[in-house]
Amino acid sequence: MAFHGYGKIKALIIDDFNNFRMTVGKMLDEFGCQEVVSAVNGQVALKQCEDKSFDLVLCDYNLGSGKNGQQVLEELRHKKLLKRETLFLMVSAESSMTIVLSAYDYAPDAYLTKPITGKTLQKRLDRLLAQREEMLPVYQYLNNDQIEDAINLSRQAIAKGSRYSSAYQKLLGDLLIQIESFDAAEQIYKQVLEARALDWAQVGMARCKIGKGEYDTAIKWLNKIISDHPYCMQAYDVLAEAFGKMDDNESMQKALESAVEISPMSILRQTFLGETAAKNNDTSVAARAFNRSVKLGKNSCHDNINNHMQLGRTTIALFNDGDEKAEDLAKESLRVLDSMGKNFDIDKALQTQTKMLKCQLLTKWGDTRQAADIFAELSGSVDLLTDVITLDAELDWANTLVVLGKKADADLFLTDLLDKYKDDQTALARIDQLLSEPVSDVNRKKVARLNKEGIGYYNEQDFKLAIDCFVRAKRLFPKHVGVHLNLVQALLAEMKEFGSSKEQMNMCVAALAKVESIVDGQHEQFARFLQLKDMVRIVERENS
Amino acid sequence: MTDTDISIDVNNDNNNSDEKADFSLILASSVHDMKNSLGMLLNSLEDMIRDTPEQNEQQAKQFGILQYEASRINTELIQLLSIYRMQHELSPVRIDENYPIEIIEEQIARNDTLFEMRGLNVEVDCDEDLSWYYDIELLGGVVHNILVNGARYSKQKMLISAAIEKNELVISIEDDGSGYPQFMLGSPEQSYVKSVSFSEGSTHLGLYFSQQVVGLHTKDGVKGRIDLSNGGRLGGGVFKLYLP
Repeated sequence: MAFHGYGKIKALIIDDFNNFRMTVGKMLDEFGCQEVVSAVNGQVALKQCEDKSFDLVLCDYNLGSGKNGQQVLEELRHKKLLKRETLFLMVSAESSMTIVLSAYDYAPDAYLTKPITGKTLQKRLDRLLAQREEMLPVYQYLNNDQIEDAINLSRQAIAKGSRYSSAYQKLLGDLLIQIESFDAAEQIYKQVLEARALDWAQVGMARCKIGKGEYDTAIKWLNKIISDHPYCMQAYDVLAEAFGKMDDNESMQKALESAVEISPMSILRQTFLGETAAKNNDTSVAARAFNRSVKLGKNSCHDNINNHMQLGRTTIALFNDGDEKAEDLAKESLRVLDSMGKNFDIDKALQTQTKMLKCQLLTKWGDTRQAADIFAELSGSVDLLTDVITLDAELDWANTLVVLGKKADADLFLTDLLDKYKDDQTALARIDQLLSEPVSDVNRKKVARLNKEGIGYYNEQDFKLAIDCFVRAKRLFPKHVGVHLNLVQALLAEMKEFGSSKEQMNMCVAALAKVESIVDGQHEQFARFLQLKDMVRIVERENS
Repeated sequence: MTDTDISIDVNNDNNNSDEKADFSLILASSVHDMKNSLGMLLNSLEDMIRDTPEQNEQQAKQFGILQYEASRINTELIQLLSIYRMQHELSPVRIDENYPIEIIEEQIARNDTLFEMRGLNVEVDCDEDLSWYYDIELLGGVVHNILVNGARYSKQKMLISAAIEKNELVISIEDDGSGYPQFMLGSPEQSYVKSVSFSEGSTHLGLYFSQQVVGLHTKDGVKGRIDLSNGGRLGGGVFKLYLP
């Protein structure tokens, strides 16, 4: 399959080694490329792609100290500096690296393994460029957003038995899903699957099911795909999407955690996991994910200041949970917060917010003097009025007050917030995290449902399941007095039935301590609290 | 980030650092290291050869040997790593529809210098439009392997062919050498590692690798397999792989 169109090809070679650029450049010249340009690193390459468009990019994965090849690809695609039809070939020293690389969010069109010989390169390029040339009209439609035309042309090519039918089918399935023609997309995937159970077509089918609202079917299939092909990363992402549609954040987190375990290098997936775990109040998973996002953000166009701030916030939450990893992370978080200015433009409002996070971290870390200085600086300035206007900033301030033990100030501030956002359910759901009882509709329903379920199990004397429900509710609403007391009651019943265990006793004590820090004599559940505390004391005495 | 950042230990399932580390893991890590060094060595070697053109035939031959042996070590190290990954389930199989002609042509091109040096003529018998389902990277490695091995034992000719037989893809690599030794013939149930013979200087690593890769290709419970025989169209060794 020789290719005769090299005369129209403009190529870019990216490698930090001069020799490689020269050798490969000479090869491309010999094939007859119209123009061959080279770049010594990602920065230069990006600039060149801004100035002109290339048909072929050969990029080494390891580019020395700056961006690596994957980050160059991500940024080129992200900034739309590559045409749809531009071929991007990643060069690496080892063929098995494709495992790790292909698990990223943006995959190159092909991989080349060093050492590259002229003949091998030509064979590979002949093949890829011939395919590109045939599919060019479809890509041009797509560049002009003529999706229907692209679909029709792909269909014709498949009907004619094109050599590239498989590539057309993949594209066609994606396009049909994009325009929400799920039945038509299913037809395409079915055709593929009749010949062979290929993972991409199976995932495509599951995406169609999600599109049609058949989440359970989609989830069943995706789990099967993952057990057959544990490295099919797209299956995890689609599974997470399906759980997201079902509002099942806990399962969504599980799916993302499995994906990240197999492929830890994708910054977007790590960030997504961090946000999901943070919503679920699973602070140790969230902190770990944000820590990784921050690290992966170095040289990446997906680096985001929010990841840096979230690392700080989740570390503070880690302290609140009494997690032993908090100490180690605190140092790292403080360093990250201090060096944010190097990579981001930080306006005054963000500076104020950063100070709040530092103030909390230092308090938890034990440096109360420096924390007090920052607090004095914050509370004495007018910045609070001018800078703390977004909900993020307001929640940071409320948390600062709580962490520094200014309970009265915190309560007052929260009351103001509840009033300000009384018509904004999304905001209220976030404020709920700081309240002893949720005020947003969605969270009230959630806690009521979990409580009801738990009480149901309790009444059926299935205390283990009751405990599970209350533990889940407690994780979502860590300050909810009723949930904590229900948990204690279920634990007591379980211990009475099956004997007490150290672990269950500890859970009781921790829950009671939490309640004690929230309620006072005026609280409606205070009497119940005292009663349960006595009962726990009796069990404790019996066992000692 | 460097090449080694995403080396084999990224997904190391052996999290218990207190326990004595598994020897295969130590071996795999050091193989990884060796392979990186060798990569550098190969690159410098190529630069050197380009910068100092050979003065006479003798020197050209020596360059050829250097290159051949170095790339043989490289191939073997890559195989070791691949086997390690396969055994630890770190190696995903990405099966898709592909054209066998592409693998065949690419691997012949890759070993062009070797064939030229040995004065070998490699023939291809494969329909351009023949397509089948397999992992293109892994199968490319197998074909490369058998070609390099065959080049060592062939006199003048090799023949590589692909066709569908009884609903399976069959790729055959034949040579005009003296054939495989008797004890290796057939399609053994047990692995080739059992027949490792250090005294003969042959580990059959390539065959073991091929067997593993082919075995990862399954359909409806049927596994891929390899078969060794003698004779064939060129009268020497015949390597065949079958993919369901």
